[in-house]
Amino acid sequence: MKHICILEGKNLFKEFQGNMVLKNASLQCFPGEGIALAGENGAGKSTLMNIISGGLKPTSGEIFIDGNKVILSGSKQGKQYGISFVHQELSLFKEMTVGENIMIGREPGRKRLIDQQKLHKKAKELLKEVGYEHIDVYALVKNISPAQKQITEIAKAWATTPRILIFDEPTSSLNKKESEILFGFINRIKKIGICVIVISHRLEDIFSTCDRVLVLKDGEFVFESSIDKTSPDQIISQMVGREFKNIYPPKQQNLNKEIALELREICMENKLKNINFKVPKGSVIGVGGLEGQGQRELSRSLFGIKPFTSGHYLIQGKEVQIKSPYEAVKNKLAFLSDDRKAEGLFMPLSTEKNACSLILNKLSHSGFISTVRMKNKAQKIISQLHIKVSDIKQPVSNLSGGNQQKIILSKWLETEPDVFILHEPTRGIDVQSKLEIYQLIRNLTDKGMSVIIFTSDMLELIGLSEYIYVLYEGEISGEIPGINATEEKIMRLSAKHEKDVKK
Amino acid sequence: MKKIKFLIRYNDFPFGIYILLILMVATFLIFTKGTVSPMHLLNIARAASPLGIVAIGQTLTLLVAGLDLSLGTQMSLVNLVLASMMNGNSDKTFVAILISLTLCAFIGMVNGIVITKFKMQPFLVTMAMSLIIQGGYYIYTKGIARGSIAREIRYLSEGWIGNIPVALILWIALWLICSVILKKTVYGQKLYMAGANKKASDLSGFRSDRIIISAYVLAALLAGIAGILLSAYIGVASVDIGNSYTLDSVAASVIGGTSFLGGVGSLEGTFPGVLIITILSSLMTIIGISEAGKFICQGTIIAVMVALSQLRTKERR
Repeated sequence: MKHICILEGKNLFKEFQGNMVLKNASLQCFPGEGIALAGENGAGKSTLMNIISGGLKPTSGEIFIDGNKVILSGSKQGKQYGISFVHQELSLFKEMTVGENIMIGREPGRKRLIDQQKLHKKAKELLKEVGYEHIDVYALVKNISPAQKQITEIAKAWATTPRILIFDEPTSSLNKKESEILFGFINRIKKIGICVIVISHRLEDIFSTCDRVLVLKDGEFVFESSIDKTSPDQIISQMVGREFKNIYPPKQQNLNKEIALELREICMENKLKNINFKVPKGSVIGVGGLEGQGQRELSRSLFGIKPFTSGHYLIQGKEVQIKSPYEAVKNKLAFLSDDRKAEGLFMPLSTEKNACSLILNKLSHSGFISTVRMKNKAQKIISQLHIKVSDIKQPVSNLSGGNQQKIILSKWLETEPDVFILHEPTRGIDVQSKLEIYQLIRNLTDKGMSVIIFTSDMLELIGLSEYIYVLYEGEISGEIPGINATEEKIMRLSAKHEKDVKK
Repeated sequence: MKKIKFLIRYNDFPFGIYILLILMVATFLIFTKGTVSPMHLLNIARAASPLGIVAIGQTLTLLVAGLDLSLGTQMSLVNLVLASMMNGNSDKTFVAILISLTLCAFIGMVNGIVITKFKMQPFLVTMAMSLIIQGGYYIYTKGIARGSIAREIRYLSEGWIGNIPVALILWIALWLICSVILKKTVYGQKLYMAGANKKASDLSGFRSDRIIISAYVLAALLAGIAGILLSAYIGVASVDIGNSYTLDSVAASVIGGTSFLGGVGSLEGTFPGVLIITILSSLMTIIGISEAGKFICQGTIIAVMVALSQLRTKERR
């Protein structure tokens, strides 16, 4: 394996708006080698891969290919050098066939006419090389399963005859058998001298395909080892080993015996499986896990947006049917969506109207809204939550992310909910607002409100929750009292490395 | 000073359109060299009433991020129903009006239900509805509309109370009622919210679909009333008499600052919007611009006003 290295990144830095996301990263890729890149969400893995595949320009640092210094501008140029990136988010054309997608940009034919038969034949061969010949190359992409889409994406990257093939979460929508076929493919192409880089949260992927593992944390490489000299445990502790900062208000010592909300044996199609879940009154319950393990489905079905298909839903001990947000609101639930722009705010309307949108009835007299009462209420909300706004009539779209989030929180709090479901409440907002929101959540639970928080921020999950549930592939893979929770334990449950670390 | 700036900047009230209206009236007075009496202006307003009323309805559908292209044909339909049922007699006046309005409400409900429940484009749904109504209209009339409107009804368009035409009073009354509903009631505010962001409105626990359907029903009812007024004005059944009102009502709403994206706009803007379209058309008749020239002018004004209101909306989205 001591050939000349195909690609070398030296002292790479990347800055986004004053934020260093990659600090002094250096990386060498040898032919026939499998490199695993591990790290938490936001550690800088994707940034680094985008830089070496040409999708992003480094702020400083150099890239060498076959020992020659190159400047990559655009992923197209990266492909010319034989670097291909299979992205996590799929980028296929839905209305075209599998074959057309695989062969995109390299359609066979004469002049500008495409030879469809030849194209699909070639696509079929490529799929066979990857190991999934059963996929119909003539099927439209919109009609195939997520797993087949992922395979199509892989075949598309393979069609560019790469020397370095980068996979970002390649098995996220594949089942066990399909994953094994993929591992087989990866090990085959390594033998013919292709370098493979795998980014994955699943340690199984890493151990089945890679020779060397690198761990990124906060934009820096903190650990490097050959795969046979390390263990899953070691990788996990390297990924998370970070200090806690004292930004979370103190938690409650004992959980209330009174249960505000309970789920029993809840299922939803194949998205959620047998969820059992208890939310004591006045406490914060955290739901964690890697992204896309059913958090979105669970949070949304709790609020009736897409209801559960079976199981029991109990509020204050009584079974309820919540099939729409309308019924959820009636049962004194509140919901903060993870997409505040698309689902939380009425963008063109004023701050005042957004803040008061849910209590219009309270502010009106025999059907007519009192302008004065609405104005006073809005002003009170704004001063209580320190929302920065030049005028209450200012469109809410002009406010900063943190202030917008506070507006959504406050509009729900005005309805005096019993249970508040928060989905990524602090995503993309400034630190100051974050701290204020944490404090607010604690103040509210002290007054008896319960909170269910869905977050991918591990520190937030541990810092806020009295009790934590971890989701994995739509199932609860474990539960931990907040006091005992550590990043390591949660990470282990998230990757389902050990199934029962309950105590 | 800063306070005034805020007042104008963040106020929903469409100042610009009123300035344009004043300019328009001034131009009109200059071109007619003072030969125009207040009576002339009131007459113009009287003639604008059917458009004024249907434009209220169109604004409602635009506010819920929709559009109703069948309002004009609904007016034609009302004209036909009234004329053929009454046939100059006043006995069936009440029944004819009741049937017309029920028909409109039904059409509006179908529009609204299809748009919300099947998540279809308002443009296509209401265009299809318009074609269906028109087809039915031709089957029934075989191309020649017969019948006339009872004399008593014509009071609606020809009567004057003191110095004010009845039609204008009706228009202003409906305008005020609808403005108050939109601005001051919980329902009105929910209508704005459903239009501004339907997903957020759903997640707020509002029954947005019902609100949107109700906007289409209200719009259809207003088109029905506009159709009655128009029939009173014309006096007989006339083929496709209302059809041109569809696009004029959209133009009036848009000139008045109502956005196609929903949730932005107000009836305070639609009212002068209607007057601007009507005065412009009279003005061009007076200075002798051809029909073709009229279209060009109207088109230009709509394009400019849409561009201006886009700038306003951009800041808000």
